[in-house]
Amino acid sequence: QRGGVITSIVVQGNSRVELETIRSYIALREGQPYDPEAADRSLKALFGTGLFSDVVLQQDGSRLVVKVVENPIINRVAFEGNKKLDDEQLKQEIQTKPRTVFTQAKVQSDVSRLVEVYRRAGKFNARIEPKVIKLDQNRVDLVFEIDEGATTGIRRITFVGNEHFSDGTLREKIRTTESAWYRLFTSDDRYDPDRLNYDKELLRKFYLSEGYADFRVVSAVAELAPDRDGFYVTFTIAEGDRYKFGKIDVTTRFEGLDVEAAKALVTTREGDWYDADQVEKTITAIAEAVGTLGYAFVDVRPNIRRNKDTLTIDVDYDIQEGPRVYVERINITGNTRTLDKVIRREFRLGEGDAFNTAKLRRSQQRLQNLGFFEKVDVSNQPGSAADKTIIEVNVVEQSTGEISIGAGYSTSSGILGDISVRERNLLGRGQDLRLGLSLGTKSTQIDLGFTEPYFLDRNVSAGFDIFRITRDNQKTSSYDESTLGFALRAGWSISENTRQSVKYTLRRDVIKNVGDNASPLIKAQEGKTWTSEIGTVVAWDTRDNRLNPTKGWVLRYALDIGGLGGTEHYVRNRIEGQWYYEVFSEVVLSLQAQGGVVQPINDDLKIANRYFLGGDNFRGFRTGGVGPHSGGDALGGKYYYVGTAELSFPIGLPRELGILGKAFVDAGSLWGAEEKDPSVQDSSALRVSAGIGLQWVSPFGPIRIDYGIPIQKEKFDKTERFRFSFGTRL
Amino acid sequence: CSSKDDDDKAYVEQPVEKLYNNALDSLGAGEYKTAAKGFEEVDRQHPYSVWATKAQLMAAFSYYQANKYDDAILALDRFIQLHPGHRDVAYAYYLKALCYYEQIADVGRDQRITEQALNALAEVTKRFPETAYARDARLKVDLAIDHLGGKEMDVGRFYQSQRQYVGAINRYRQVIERYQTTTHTPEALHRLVECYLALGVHDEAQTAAAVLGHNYPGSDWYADSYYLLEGVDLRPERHEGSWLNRMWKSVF
Repeated sequence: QRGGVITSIVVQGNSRVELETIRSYIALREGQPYDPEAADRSLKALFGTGLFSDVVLQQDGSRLVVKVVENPIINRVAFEGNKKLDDEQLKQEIQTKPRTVFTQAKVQSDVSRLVEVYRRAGKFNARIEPKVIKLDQNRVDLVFEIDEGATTGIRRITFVGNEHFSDGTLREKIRTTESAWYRLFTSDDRYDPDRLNYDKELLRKFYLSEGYADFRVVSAVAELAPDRDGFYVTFTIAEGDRYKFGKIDVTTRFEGLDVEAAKALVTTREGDWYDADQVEKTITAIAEAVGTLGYAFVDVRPNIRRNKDTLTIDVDYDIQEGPRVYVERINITGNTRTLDKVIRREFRLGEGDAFNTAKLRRSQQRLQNLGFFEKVDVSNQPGSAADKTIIEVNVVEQSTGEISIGAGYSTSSGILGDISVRERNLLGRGQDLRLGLSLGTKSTQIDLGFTEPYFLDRNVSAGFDIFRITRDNQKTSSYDESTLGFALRAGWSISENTRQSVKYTLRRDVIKNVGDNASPLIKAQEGKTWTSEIGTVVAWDTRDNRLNPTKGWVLRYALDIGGLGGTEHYVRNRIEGQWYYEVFSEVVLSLQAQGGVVQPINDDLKIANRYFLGGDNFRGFRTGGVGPHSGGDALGGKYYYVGTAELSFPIGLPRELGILGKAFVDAGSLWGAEEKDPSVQDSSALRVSAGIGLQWVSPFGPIRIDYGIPIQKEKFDKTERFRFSFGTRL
Repeated sequence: CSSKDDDDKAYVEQPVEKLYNNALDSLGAGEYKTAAKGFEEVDRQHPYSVWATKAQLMAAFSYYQANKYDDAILALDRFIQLHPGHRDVAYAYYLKALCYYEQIADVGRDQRITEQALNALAEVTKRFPETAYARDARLKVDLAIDHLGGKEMDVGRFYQSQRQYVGAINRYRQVIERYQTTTHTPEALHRLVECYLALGVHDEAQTAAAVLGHNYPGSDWYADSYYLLEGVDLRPERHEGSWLNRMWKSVF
């Protein structure tokens, strides 16, 4: 009867699981009264082990009988029909392993896990059927029968509602890409709902930075094609109106704070197109500046007023007192490879500092920009006291090794193939090591470069390069050149947009294989020279994008001095400026100018240290085609300048082809031959060329075609109207 | 697919003694991966034999020897779950702790494994306090704690090198409050002297040096601290208001 004292516990039906094990899960004991609650707990505990498919507790007089049915043991797990993913990859994803207990629940969860894995690999039609084969000794074989189906990549990405930006431009702004045969090493062409959400955010950010303050993504839909082997992704967007900045003001509640000084930090002016990125930058700049004035707890809030009728946005940066909270600790986890300090030094906040959200956001951005991590989670948790906070940083590391292989053709270098191997986070120390090899019909190059971004834990990057270059200059100057060298370099930021670098180079140049018909002046250059040079570069750069700039300018000044040992002695000055302006949507005007002077000290200036002009830096002329010549060979000069005005524009072809037209004018000169010889032809007269070109981001790699017509030239200059270059990178 | 053939090759029904002895031979020969597979085969083909239980533990040991710690931990968890009352279960817990312990990374990296090792070692000392395993585990607990103290030192030195003394002091303070029994304490005290001197907080610097001199009179760190203080005409001296003084009083 219930409630009676248990005299003995009998376990039935177990064969593999030991009696002791089962007893350890039973909360009832011999000699104690039967307690239904304890019996219930025991039942739950026994089922909870996952060892049994059935458990019954029965009272048989004063005996407690525990009847169990053991789950079978898995003998083998096999996969059939998998091609895209191999057995090892699949095995890692599932819970059922040989020799573990078989349960229906585990198998079901494995099936859904495998379906998920296949979806991530782009196989949305994959079907998985688990088959159980019963064996003797209560064992089973488990076979996952897999029908992978076809790969479901993204066939096309379209945008609806975009009037100001082409589909092509918007496609570049998002992560998801269309499938193409040459996209071998990416998974971005597979449909992933998470990535699509991220893309919506990227689109929003892009439009907000271009002034479209009312921008909305109405929907982002991925539809499976009727034949089920591809997705059509459609973003429906509402661009809204484009706004300009209206009144910009800075106000503060701090008494005695110089508002005018803060106003000077605002990066935008009334009448500029509205740009949410610039608002964010201004907030960071003001918070930082006010912070250094001793106001530790600063919170800069932008009060944004939208005027629909004038299409302007007034921004009032309100400098308020932020919450009085200090950073107690910054805990970093997940860095199994990367050193703690490599992460910690990117933080704009230190432990013990006043907490500031703008700085925390900036820190997270900097960590992401390192490119070492797949994911960076930064959150702040309450600390040990009310005025303290703990910042938790969790990173997920990603592979930082790269191999890139490229091939191409260009008029100046001929056919070219290159391969490079690079590790961006060497041994988790944040150092960059790169080895590159490039082989071409006209030049070969091998170089090894190493960079430590925080030399001696300071904000100075330092590194070295070793290089060997051989170049065939027979066509322009009738000689071959081979260079072997070594360089030490260091660089640092002076301010947000200003950088300085210094570099020491030791180089051996050999001029050889001078042709029989070459000018005697070239013959005289034959032989070996040693150059030991120290130089510095200062650069001011405000471009919005280094690869494809559409606004901003860059100014660079370089000074090199040769002659700390070595055989060559000279001083070289060079200055260069570029300016970009988007005239209207997608039409970008760029103006560039550069010039240089190299002055030998005491002895001759060898050909390896002279300037050459023509080709890529002066279209319409052959490489080295402008400037002093003797007997048809380019000698190079000591003085040069060249200016370029270029307009790039869409040419009316469907935008998604990515073809841009160019119109350019180049003007400049190179003069000052080193040799005083009657055969030297030299003139400082202005040369001008003009032309048109095409730039196509083709499925085979970027292609550039330029056609330049020399308008003003000297009779000894060598011209070349047509230039072509094509390159691909995998 | 390819690896299915391997499985088929390996899957030959064999008598239990033969399988077990083969695996044991591989283990003796130092072929740990083969041994692990062999022991697992015993368990797979003859799950109800008396050898199966032993083979499970031997497989885990073989994985441990092969430095395949994740596999070893999985196998040990399975053994512990199936045989919580087995006479070798203390060893299983101990081996699991060793698997974590041997994966401890240098102080510059994530210390999650150190925490896991510490928990696993503590479990050995708690569950089986009278065993030889517990005695070794206690030693290793001390070493793991020393390692965590080293992590605090590493971060502290970073902030000190960046002249962020407040952050550095907080980390050194952690060493003294939480890892006081470790080898890092004298250095932490000396670094506190350096940081407080850099900030111009002379009372705290003097107290830190006095505590260092009192507890580690012969250490080089004390000599360094003394020299530093001498340079600014100060001597090690306890000040009542200092947090160090209050804390040390409550500890000793």
